[in-house]
Amino acid sequence: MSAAIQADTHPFVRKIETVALFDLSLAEREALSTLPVQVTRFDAHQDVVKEFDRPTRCFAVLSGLAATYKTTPEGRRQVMAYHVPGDVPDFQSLHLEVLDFSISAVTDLSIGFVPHGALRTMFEDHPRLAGAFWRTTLIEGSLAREWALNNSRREAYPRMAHLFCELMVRLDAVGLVQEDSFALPLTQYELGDALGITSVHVNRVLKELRDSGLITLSGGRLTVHDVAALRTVAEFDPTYLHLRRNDSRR
Amino acid sequence: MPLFFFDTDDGRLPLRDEEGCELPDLQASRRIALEALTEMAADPLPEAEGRRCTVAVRDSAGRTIYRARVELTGEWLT
Repeated sequence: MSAAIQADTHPFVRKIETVALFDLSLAEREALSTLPVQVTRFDAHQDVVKEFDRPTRCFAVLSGLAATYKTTPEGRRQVMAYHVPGDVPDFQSLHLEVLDFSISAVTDLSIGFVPHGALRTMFEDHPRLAGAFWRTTLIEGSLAREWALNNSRREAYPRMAHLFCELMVRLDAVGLVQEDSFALPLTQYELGDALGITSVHVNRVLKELRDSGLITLSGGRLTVHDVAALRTVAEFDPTYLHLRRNDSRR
Repeated sequence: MPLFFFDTDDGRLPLRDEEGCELPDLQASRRIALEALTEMAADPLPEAEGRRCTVAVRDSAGRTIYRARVELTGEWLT
């Protein structure tokens, strides 16, 4: 093993295992886990990549939470997606040379950079892996569609509930939910940037969700008290996340 | 940056802001107050044919420095 990261916990192995519709062969597992990874740490709120960058490498989130965002010329920010450990949020930079979004650290963040060249070589040697990574970018598109629907057509109460349901399922898939509770160190301001509403309205909706007995958000931790009820409020259907356990016919 | 507090009421839920929000200036606080007011007026859609929403902005000294109100009235004409 060349990397300091164990093969079975290697972010790429773990990610592809959750999205690929096939079982990794030994050779594919080896190829993924020996990709050269440069581990780099970022402080909360630091940008990892910026709009108009021309990256020569992709990165995987190793720990912490990251956000893809765009801003209007006057500086109003909209978060487009959150990225949990295992995600490879700028994989499109392999094929689209200029970034059309920025990605910042929401929390203290550890990421692993992988040079584009190493990925290209791997895809030539292992075409099924190229398909699996393609699938990850298609899933990102699916999430973006759900976010567009959520932020434009749901009222703030179900909208916020939907965001919490999504994060819970995605974090659970990588083992970061314990007893319906997970780290979510987002300020009301940041939640507003994700949901497209003011922090003032966020404050009100959070209180209503709390008063309904559905959730508690305190000390940077979200606890869901009634998962089924939260999902009903959110009209949450996890199909769009295309987790392997849902999509696979086997 | 100065801290501003936004106390809101939409007739169902009065809520005093205990945390506050750092903003560059007074104009920024006015903008957020008005934006929040429009959100509260329509979200969720009111069940009754009337809703009065208010936002009051307090500065860090506790003085109310700005207040805005919107009144939504619907009526059937047939």
